[in-house]
Amino acid sequence: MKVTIIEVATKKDIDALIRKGLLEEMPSIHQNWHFNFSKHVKKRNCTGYVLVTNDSPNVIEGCMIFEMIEKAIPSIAYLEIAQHNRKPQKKYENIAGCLIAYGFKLSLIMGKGDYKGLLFLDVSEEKEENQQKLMRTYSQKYNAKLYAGGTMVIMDEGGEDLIKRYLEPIEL
Amino acid sequence: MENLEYNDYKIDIKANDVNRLTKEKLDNVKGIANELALKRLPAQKLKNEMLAIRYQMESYAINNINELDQIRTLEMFVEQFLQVLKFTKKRFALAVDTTDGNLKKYLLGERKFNIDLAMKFGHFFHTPPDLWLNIQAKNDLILLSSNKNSYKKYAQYDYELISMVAEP
Repeated sequence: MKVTIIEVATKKDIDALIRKGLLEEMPSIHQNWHFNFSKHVKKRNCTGYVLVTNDSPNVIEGCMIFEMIEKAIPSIAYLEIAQHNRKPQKKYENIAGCLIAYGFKLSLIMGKGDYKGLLFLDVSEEKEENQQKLMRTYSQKYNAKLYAGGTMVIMDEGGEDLIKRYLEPIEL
Repeated sequence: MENLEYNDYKIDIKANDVNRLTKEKLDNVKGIANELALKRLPAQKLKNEMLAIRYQMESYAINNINELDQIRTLEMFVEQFLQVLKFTKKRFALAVDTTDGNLKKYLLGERKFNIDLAMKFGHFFHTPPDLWLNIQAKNDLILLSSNKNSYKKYAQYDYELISMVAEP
């Protein structure tokens, strides 16, 4: 689907696209990514999505693996943005927001029964301090709530808000 | 407030592998989902189901579909909505100022699906009116493309061909 991200240097809106990733283009640790998307995407009930700009459709700006746990429970299993979109050089912003909002949209479409409108995330950091910071980010910026066992959930209005903020300005 | 940025961190989201998802973890996730479902108001559940259909429509409208057997008609989407809303077609037809017989003709393409109906459908189902028109136009084009003779006859309207003919 079409999305808009922001070029940090110019603050201009940039047309981009979230689409299913082909197996051969999924990033891996060999390309300086932290996760082996090319490996994880092969797992059961997992689908890889990439965010690319219209101008550079072969450069992956962000990548996500959406997983339907037991074919019923929507979750984002892995999500990472490209190195060049991290501080300090950071080329584009809103990539994570667009991918998470898209994940919530998938949760509405694909979630079964009461799982529809719930998006599960497990935030895992090597250092406890970073874990806490990241959880706060998900909570403050992406409306995720923390539950037992470190599980975070984006639910109903919280997810709709993300769709409005990140996906709807150029819907259709 | 501390200005936290998602991408300040070295590692992003990382769920347990599906293969390593322990029973304990899975039970925890299901427990949370059940707890949240109990708290969810019926109106929110309905809203979610309606949104799901809307997003399916949007996805259908923008996806590259060219085969007849992949067509999803307006009638299919209406039926999905009505099932969720527990409305009969007759009741819906009355709500949009028509009869179930006429509604069927519009949905089957025997009558032209128009802007007035798109506006009514849009408001009734909380969807953008142009979504209904876009899907109808898309389906009409797929049908036309499936009949090669019908499609080919439009080749004569190419400006390059017309430019070659002397102006009368």
